[in-house]
Amino acid sequence: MKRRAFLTSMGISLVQTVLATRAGLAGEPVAASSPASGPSAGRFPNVTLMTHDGAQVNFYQDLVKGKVVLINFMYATCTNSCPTFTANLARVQRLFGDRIGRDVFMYSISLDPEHDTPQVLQQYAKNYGIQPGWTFLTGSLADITTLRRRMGLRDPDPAIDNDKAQHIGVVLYGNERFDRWAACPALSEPSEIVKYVGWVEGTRQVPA
Amino acid sequence: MRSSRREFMKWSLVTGGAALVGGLGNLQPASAQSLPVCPLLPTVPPGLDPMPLAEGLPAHSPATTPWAVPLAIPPVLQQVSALNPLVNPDEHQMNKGFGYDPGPANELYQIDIKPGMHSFHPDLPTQDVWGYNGIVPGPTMVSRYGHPKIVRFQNQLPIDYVGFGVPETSTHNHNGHQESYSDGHPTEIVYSGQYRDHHYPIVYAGNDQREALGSLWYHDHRFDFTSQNVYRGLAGFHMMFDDIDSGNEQDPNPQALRLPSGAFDIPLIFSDKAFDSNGKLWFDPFNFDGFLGDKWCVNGKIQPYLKVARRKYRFRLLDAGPSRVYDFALSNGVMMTLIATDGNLLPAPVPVQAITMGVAQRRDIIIDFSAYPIGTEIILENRAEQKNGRMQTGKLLLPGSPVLKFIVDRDAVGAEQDFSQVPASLRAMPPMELAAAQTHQRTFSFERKSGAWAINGAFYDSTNPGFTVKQGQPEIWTLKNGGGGWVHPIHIHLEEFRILTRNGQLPAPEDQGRHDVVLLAPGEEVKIYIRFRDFTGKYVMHCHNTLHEDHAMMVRFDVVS
Repeated sequence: MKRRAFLTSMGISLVQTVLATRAGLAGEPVAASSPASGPSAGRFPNVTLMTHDGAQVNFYQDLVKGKVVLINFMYATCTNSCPTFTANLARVQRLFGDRIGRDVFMYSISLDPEHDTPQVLQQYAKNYGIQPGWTFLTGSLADITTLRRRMGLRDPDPAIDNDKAQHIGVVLYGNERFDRWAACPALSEPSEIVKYVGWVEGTRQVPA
Repeated sequence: MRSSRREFMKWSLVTGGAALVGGLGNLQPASAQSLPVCPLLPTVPPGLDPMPLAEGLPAHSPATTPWAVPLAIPPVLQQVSALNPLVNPDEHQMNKGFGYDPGPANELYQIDIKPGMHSFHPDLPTQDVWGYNGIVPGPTMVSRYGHPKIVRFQNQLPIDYVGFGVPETSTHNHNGHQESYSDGHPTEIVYSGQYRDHHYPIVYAGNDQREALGSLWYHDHRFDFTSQNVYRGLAGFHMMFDDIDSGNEQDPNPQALRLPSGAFDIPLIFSDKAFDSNGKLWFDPFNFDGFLGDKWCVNGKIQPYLKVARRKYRFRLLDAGPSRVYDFALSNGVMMTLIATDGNLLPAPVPVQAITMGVAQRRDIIIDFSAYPIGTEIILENRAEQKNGRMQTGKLLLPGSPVLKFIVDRDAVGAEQDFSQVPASLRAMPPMELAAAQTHQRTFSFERKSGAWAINGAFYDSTNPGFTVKQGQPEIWTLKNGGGGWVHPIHIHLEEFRILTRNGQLPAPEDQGRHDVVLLAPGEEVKIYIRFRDFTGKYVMHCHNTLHEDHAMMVRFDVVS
């Protein structure tokens, strides 16, 4: 049942991707003009994804809008660098403690969506002791390609562009409420990453 | 406009040679035969711009009419009589200007970092920017050796601003010889509502007048957001003078060079920008390779014109980024006279056909308009084709993209009379202690790593120095571009360096000056001589493609006594 819902959503999102592709690299026109959109609507495709819990979500509307987020890309079978990145981000999650899932949300998007079903990602999260508030995401390859390319993980050389291993070392962080976005290496010191997120939260005038 | 350009092309073909020898002959007598190069360039229809789409922008920026707006020349920053609260001398490493020595007291300045309204072009809406004192570019700082200064940078940016950029700043006086506290270190952040006093002692490195600096700039250096904050407007120019480069073309001092001065000494800050369909400044925060705009801005205006008198001008060119490499040439093919690189006067002027500039590099040039009839129009063009933020394609565009138009509109009479000269020798070079440096060598490789950017495999770590350097110790560093598809303009804080070799070869004449930025082409390897004398503390070396810098191609180094 979950699997069927996922496949259906993939079909829908393929249509969306074709439309988005026709519009060039433009931001999702629907999201950009919708009154329910936040200031960063034009920067993110509102593609439909599946969480590792099997829930269907719209990327911009449900996961990014109005939130402080950390976003990275990974895939479960990566034996090279993903394990160190995921382990490093797990330390980031521990440093944030219960603020993750409340003030700050973490997302890891699979670059190998055909293999990384929600079940695979659920097992992956379990293996790394990932706590609630950090969501692993999969979807159609076309949607994920749109997503990663819009988010700067792209290369003019098609061979490099299609090579999953070339893209996975960067974490995007930002605050959608202020349209404030930046990125850092996924292997930055966890305490530094926590500090960076503080920079975009904009909740204080001077540091505590 | 088209007809005048055609007229000009015709004129320059017929009379260019003879007239230019007359006009520039006194500058480089030895190479006069190489001056009047007037290749038959195809004419470009006005406004046609071969510049590509800004990467990631859904469409081209809205159309703007070229040459619709005059070049804006930023106002000079004025002193204030007092700062309240008072300056705390204990914050600063060098006593100069605080009353402990007989020299002049610190000149006092205040710069408010705040939003302002700005018009890039009459065809686009006036819009909010961030500026030093709310203007883009910021006011030009003018300094004179022997006159130290305190500049109070007061952050007044709104904390809840919606849009790219972060309202937290660290202002770097680029190539200033200043203490670490006043250097605008990337993580020494001034938050909204705070201020920080920067002390610029305006002293020669090693107390050697041959180390004089001339063309600097100041800009935000806030880690991870430098590209966005500078793009939003946080950049300004800084000119420094002494009794050799005195800023007075009628200076009776026999030592004075009497280069074109005052209103004829003009900073040109180049930055390429993109605008969304509403005409608002647009930036892609998810670009880690380098950002290109599709509008040419000079001093904050898109494709401006400058009306010039028939005389010599000094232009101080600065590539203010974010990522583009320029190859500037004049549309009539005439040579320019290069007098300074990265703001530092060369031993002798060098005639050049084109000027290649990476981000943060400065080039001072002399253009002599005296030989041209009134009505002549000359366009400063960028001939470097570039299609993504990583590097140029390697193709030279002929004609290039039109960036700035000079219109010769008057004789230089009365107050504009040209008393300036370009002497055959400018400023002597300081000696290098190469023997002492040989035993202190380091190698740095600038490479791409996991989608971000690294130096010797390491990402920027603000808390730990990547290496330490002993104060006063001459060293030789090898800077290597570890990749094949990128250029890196590498900038070193505190003191400039000399290029010893580029790929094993002796540097070209225009590479033989003192530099604080060196552009590394793919696979290139440059050996430099460097020494840090007057200050101890933490500084940085980084790629000045601001997108590479923000994505961790930076290393902290500490100068220790």
